[in-house]
Amino acid sequence: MKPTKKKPLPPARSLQLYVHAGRELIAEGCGTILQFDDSRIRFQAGKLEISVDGTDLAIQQLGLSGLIIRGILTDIHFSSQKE
Amino acid sequence: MLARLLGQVVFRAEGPFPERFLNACRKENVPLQRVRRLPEGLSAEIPAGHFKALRLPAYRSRMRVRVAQKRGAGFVRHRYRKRWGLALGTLLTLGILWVSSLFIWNIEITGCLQVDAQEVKQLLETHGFHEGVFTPKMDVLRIRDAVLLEMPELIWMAINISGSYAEVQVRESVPKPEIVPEDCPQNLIAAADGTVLSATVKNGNAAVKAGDTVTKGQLLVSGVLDSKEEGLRLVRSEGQIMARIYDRFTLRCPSVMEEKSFSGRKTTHTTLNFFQFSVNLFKNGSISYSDYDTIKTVKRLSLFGVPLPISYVSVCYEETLFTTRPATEDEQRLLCEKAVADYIAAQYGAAEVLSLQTEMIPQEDGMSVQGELQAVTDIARAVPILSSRE
Repeated sequence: MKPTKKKPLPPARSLQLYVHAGRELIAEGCGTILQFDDSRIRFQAGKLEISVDGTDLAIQQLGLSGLIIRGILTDIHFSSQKE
Repeated sequence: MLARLLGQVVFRAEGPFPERFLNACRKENVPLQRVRRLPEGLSAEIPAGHFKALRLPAYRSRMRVRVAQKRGAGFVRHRYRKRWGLALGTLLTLGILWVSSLFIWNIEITGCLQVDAQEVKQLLETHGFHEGVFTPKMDVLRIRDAVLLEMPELIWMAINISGSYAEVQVRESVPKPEIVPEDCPQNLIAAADGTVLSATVKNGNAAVKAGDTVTKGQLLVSGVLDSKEEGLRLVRSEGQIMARIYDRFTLRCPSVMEEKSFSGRKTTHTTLNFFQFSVNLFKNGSISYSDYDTIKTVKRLSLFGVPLPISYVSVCYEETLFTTRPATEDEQRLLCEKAVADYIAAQYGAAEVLSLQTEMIPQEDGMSVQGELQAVTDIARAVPILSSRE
């Protein structure tokens, strides 16, 4: 298959995170997924990098606007990228 | 749920770059659900309509996509696309179910205590509400009002139709008490000879007291009152005069017993009913027996506990024979006891029997019973006072 022209990622909106009872995380306005594992999901949101640690993690829904992570969440780590 | 109905594909993406694959899917706006990491890549679900859109992200991320499972109505429809009979049969069944839900299949009448439910059902039938009736054009309120007007025993009725099932709830009216006209003066006289034990007078002038001996027809409570203030006036005497009565009686008892037996000959007529239509499954409808017992058995067909409008009615006519024979000694005694009990009930009602002595005397044409009764009962009997104007 012939590759088409690379499309840019949708414009980053302001990041909003909702955590429900440590079992679900809804991230709106997130960017690229950097790591996907059943114990860690790491993704980018603008200049911020967010790492979600836990067990039995899965992406319940993945769309343009964001993603929903389900599993047993233990840590959420924010780190800022240096320019 | 909707996604499941429309069809969904569970797939596995195998390769070294699952994150790239996910990002590529986001760029192409491919909606992924339930994404799980596997050692060889990942697994996810996607609506069937978007499955082809996975090709580009898979190519870009060098992942190989394999279908693990297809589920949903769309795939089932595709699997059975050449079996049009199944679809036709389903549609036909649904159509029949829909049409049949427009008719009443079963009527249940609840709340009948004194009134016969069958009588209510027959009255409903005369007004057009029966099994097999077409419900959309039925005026339930009119039928309800008509039945209530024709049946004064009922005070309230509700016809609840739920699909093809109708529940008719009824409430019976309380019977009107006997209204005694207050302007009808009366005396109380003795209905039998006896000795007065107690006199409870509610209205009127007591003419006897406890300990008095009275004869049949003697005045017990007078309805004529005379006072200085109001003068002579007539009232309706009311009261209870309890008296010990003595009665000697002689009764005749039959000496033969009538017995009913079955000859063994019987005829069964079977009918198949469908809604209001019935099909007789017998040729000759006449019964040749002069005396017979009728046993009717109605068997209603049901499907998964839901009664169907099809019933199987079997009426059995069994010939009976009546023969007479002389009564045995024990039977004769029972007959006499019954005759005495009937006599006391007819003469004194709910009297308290103090003593009863009976003697059976054989006669040429049967048996007679002589008895002496001592009982306590209310002997007051009302007789109207006829004034000169009447």
